[in-house]
Amino acid sequence: MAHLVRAWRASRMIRFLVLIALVGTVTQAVLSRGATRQTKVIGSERLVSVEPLAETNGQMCVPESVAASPELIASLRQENLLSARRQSASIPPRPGNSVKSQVAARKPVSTIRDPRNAFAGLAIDPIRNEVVIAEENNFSLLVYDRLENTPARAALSEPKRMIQGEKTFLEYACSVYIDPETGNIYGINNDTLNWMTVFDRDARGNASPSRKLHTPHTTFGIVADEDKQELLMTIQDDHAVVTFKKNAKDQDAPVRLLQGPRTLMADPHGIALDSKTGLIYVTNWGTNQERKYDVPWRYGKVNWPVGRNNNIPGSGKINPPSITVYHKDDKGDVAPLRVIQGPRTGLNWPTSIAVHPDRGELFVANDTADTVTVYRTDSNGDAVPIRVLKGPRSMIKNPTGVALDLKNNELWVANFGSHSATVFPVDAAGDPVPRRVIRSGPVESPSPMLSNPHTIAYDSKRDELLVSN
Amino acid sequence: MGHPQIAAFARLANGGAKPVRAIAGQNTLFTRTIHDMAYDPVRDEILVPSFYAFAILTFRGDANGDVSPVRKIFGPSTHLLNPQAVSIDAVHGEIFVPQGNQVLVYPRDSNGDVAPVRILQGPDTGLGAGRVTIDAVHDLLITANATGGEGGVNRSGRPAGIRIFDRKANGNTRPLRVITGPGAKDAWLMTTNPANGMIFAVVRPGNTGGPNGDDIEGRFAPEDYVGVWSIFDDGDVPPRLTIGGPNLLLKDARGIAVDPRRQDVIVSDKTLNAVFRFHVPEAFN
Repeated sequence: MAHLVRAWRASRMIRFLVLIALVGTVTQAVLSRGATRQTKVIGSERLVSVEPLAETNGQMCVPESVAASPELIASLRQENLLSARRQSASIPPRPGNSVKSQVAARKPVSTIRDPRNAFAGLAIDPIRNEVVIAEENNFSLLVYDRLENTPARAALSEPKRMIQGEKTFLEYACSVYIDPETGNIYGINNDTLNWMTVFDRDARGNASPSRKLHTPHTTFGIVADEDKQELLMTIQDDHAVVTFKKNAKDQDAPVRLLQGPRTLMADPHGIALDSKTGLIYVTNWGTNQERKYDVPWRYGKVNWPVGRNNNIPGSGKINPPSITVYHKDDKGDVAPLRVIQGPRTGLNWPTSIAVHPDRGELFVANDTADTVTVYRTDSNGDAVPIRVLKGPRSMIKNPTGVALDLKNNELWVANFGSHSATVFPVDAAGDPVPRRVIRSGPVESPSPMLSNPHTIAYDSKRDELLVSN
Repeated sequence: MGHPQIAAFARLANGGAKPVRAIAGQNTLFTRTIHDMAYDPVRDEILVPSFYAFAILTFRGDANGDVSPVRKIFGPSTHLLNPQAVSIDAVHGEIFVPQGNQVLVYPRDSNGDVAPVRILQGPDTGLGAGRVTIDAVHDLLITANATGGEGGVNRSGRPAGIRIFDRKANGNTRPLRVITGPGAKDAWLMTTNPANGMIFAVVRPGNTGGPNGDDIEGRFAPEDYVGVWSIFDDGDVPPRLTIGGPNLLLKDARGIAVDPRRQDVIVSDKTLNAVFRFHVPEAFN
C-alpha cells in the first residue's frame, strides 16, 4: 500500500514538473515571438530589450504631399474656412484704448537684419590711395586706405571715414564716382531716392552733401567724362543713358538723352567709358517694353527720359543679357555700334562694368554667376570671355561692383554676398587668391543679402518666411 | 538696390541669419526691386510680378537659385502694364493683378499670352488699385489705392481708402464698403486673416510715389505702422489696432504677412533694412 502511495505521489510530482516545464516553454515561445527581442548582459548594466523601429525610408516626419490633389486640399481648406466664416459673420467689437496702446508699443519677438556693412559698388582713388565703397545695408559710403588688407584672424577692417546719416541723402547707394582732381565723392541712389549726392573728399559722419542733383528714378550706374566735364548715368526704368553737366545741381536738366527701341537697352545697369576711344559700354539685364516717345518733356526738363507712364500694355520683352556699345556723344534713338550677347558670353545679371583702355579689355561683374568675365573691347556678338575669375579661393560671391586701378594695374571687386572687397592683379584668371581683401565681417559670417526688403509672404508648407529685395 | 532676390528664412531666423535658400539670377526674369509676391499654399507655388517684362511669373514653392518660372502670363493679350503687385485666391484658383484703375483676374493655370477672364474697372469702382488682397472665406476682393493720394484722393479723384468688393466683381461695380480716413487712405500692401475677418495693411503716410509711383524725392516717413481693420468696417474708421507705430519702431514699412497659427504679424522696413516678427494675439482672436 505504501508502495502505491509513493508511486502515486511520484507520478503527481512528475506531472506537476512537466506542467511547469510546458508553461515555461510556452511563455518563452510567446515572449520570443518575432525573434527581434533579446536580452543581453553587458558589464554591470543590463540591456532589457532591443526592438527595431518601423522602416521609415529616412524620414520620420513626412511633409504634406505636393502631388496631392489640389482640389482635395482646396476643398478641405474651404471646409475649414467656411467654419471660420460662421465664426466671423458680423462686426467684432473694437478693442479699448489700453489694448491699442499696448499693442502699438509691443517689441518684435525677432528681427532679421544683417549687422554688417554690405558692399555694393566701389571706386578707386589712386592719387590719394583710397577706395570708396557704396554700402547698401547701413546706407553709407565707406572710405578705406587703398592698401588696407584685413588680417585673416581679424573680424573686419574699420573704414577711415564713413559718410552715413539722415542728412546725407544716401539710401541704397549702388554706384560711386571719385573726382580725380578734387577727390570729391559722387553717390547714386537707385530706386528709393531720386538724388545724386556729392560730398567733399573729407566728409564724414552725418554730413550734408555739398550739392545734390535731382535724377531720374532708378539711376544705377555712373561714369564721368572728365574731358567734357560731363556725368553719364544709366536709368533702369527708362532703358536710357542720361548725361548731365558735371557741376549740375538741384533741378538742372540733362544735356543729352540716349533712349529708344533702336538702342537695344534693356534694364541697363553698369556703364564704363573708354577714354581713348570715346566709347561707352552699358550692361543690360535683358527685360524691357515698348512705350510712346512723342510726348512732352517730363517736368518741363529737356532730355529727361520718357517715363513708364507712356508704356504700352502687354508689350513686355524678354531678351538675353547684353553689353551694348555706343559713342559717348550719341543721343536720341541710336542703334549700338556693337552688341555682346549670347550663351557663350557667360553674362548673368551683369551688374557692373569697367574698361581698361591700355589693355583693351572689359571687366564685367556677373552677380548670380559669382564671376568676373573679361572681354576684348572690340568683342561683338556671342563672344567667349578671354578670362574668367571664379571660385572659392577668389572669394568672389555675388559681385555687384567692379573697378580698375589703372595706376597700379589692379582689379577690385565688391562682393555683396560675402561682406568683402577683393583685389587682384589686372591679368588674374581662374580661381586666384586675392592680393588683398577688405572685409566688413568674419570670413564665415552669413550674409542674408537683404536690400530694400519690400514684400514678404508666409510659406505655410515649410514654415518659412519669404522676403523679396 | 543692386541685388533682387526672394530669400526664404526659417521661421525663427533672427539677426544676420543666412537664408535657407534664395531665388535669384538671369533665368528668374526678376528685374529691379520686387514690389509684391504671393504664396499659393494649395499648389505650393510662388507668384511674382515682373515689372519690366509685363509678366506674372510662377515658381515652384521649393524653388532655389537661378531657376526659370514654371509658368508665365506674358504677351500682348494680357493687358499687363508695369505690374507691381499680385494676389492669389488659393481656394478658387484665381490670380489678381491690380494696375492703375483696374484689377485684372486670370485663372491660376494661365500660361503664355492669356487675356484676363475678368477686369474690374470703371467710374463706379472708385479705383485706383495699387495693391489687392483676397478673403476667400467671405468672398471679398480688397484694394488699396497706394499711389497718387495727393489731397486724400486717388487717381480717380475719389476718396482714397481701402475698397472692399465682392470677390467676383467684374466691370464697373461699386464696392460693398469703403474704409476711409487717416490710416486707410495711406494703406499699401495688405493681407487678411479670414478666420476672424481682419485686414492687415502697411500704412505709409506721406509721399508714396506720386501719380506714376516714381516721384520719391524726400526722406522716409517715420510715422509708418501696420493698421488692422475688420472686413466689416465702413466709412471714416481708424484702425482697430496699430502695430510698430506710429512714431515708434517702424520707419518705412513695406511688406506684410501673418502667421495665424502663432498669431504673429511680420513686417519689413526699407529704412531699417530689416524684417520684424510681432506676436499679436489680440489681432487674431
